[in-house]
Amino acid sequence: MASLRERAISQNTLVCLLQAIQGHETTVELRDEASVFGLIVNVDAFMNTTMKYCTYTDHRWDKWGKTMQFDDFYVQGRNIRFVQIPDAVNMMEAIEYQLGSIERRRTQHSQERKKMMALREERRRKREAKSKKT
Amino acid sequence: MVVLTNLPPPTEGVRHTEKNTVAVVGEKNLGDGTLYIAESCVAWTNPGGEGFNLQYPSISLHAVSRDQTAFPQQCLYIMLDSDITDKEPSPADTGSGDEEEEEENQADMTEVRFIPQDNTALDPMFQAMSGCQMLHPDPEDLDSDEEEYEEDGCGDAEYFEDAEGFEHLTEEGRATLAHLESVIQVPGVGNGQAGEFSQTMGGVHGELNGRDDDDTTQPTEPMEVGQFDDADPEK
Repeated sequence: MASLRERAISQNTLVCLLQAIQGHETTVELRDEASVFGLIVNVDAFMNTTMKYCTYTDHRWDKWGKTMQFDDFYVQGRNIRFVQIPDAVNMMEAIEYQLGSIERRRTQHSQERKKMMALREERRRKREAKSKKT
Repeated sequence: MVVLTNLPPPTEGVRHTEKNTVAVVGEKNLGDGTLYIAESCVAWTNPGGEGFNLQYPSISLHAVSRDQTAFPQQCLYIMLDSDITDKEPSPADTGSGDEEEEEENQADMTEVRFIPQDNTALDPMFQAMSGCQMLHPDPEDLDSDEEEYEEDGCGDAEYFEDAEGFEHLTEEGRATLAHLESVIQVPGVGNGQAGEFSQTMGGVHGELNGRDDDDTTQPTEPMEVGQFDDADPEK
């Protein structure tokens, strides 16, 4: 799903730490002082974050403490100021695990490609054999 | 007050269309209309053909709200990073009285709610929005990242490893790839590709490919065994 560039970003920046807390509940603090507590569903390479079952709390002076509930929530990466890493998460381990899973996916991918190439080659041979006969 | 215009709704790249959707911008109910979630923008038009467009970069966040204490109806909630409910501030904004006004405008945002008649449409609407939002990454952030990766070579290092990457290549890139593959000559893999790609290269390597085809008339061998048999055929 993720493009090669996104994967390169995930592998080379700390966004992989945020990707490692997918599936955890935590608080994301936004640039406009609001904060969102909920389940992290997905973080893409641009830090765009999808969450579920969120409580959104407004911290601006005129709407202080006003909360809203959202079943599904998507916020652009550039609007995120902080993501609180849950205490239960060991950051180094999480990063290493995440990088490992990117690598595993990549290996799987290149194996799939090899298979595809072999199939393609086989088809080409068959085609050639056919055209030779005629 | 939002300015409604007669912009025609988007026709290309529309991911979701939701009829009978009420739009509420700020506190103002604009009535019933049709919502278009397209790859280029989010648009809403009323039956009179009047409506408004929202650009993805200006959308800070979007969410599905089912909490009826915050808003009486289930809706797709969108927060914009600017205030579109007010008109441009008048240019004569100088003087002591304006500080208060400035403070008021400090919360530069607009809440937009789309309330579809059909509640079950909220999930596909949310998914469509998320999908489109991903097509519009932050332009500022992107530039700096791209340079960084080009310098490091991180982005390019694995570019040719996957078939997936082929789709991202430019014409020039494909020609280069075809050339590289024809030079490397991995039996079984390289030959087939070089043959296919040469069509896009205007037959530059026609000669080479002619020979490739001859090679493949030989009985097939497992990849590893015959790997270097036909290496360096130019010499």
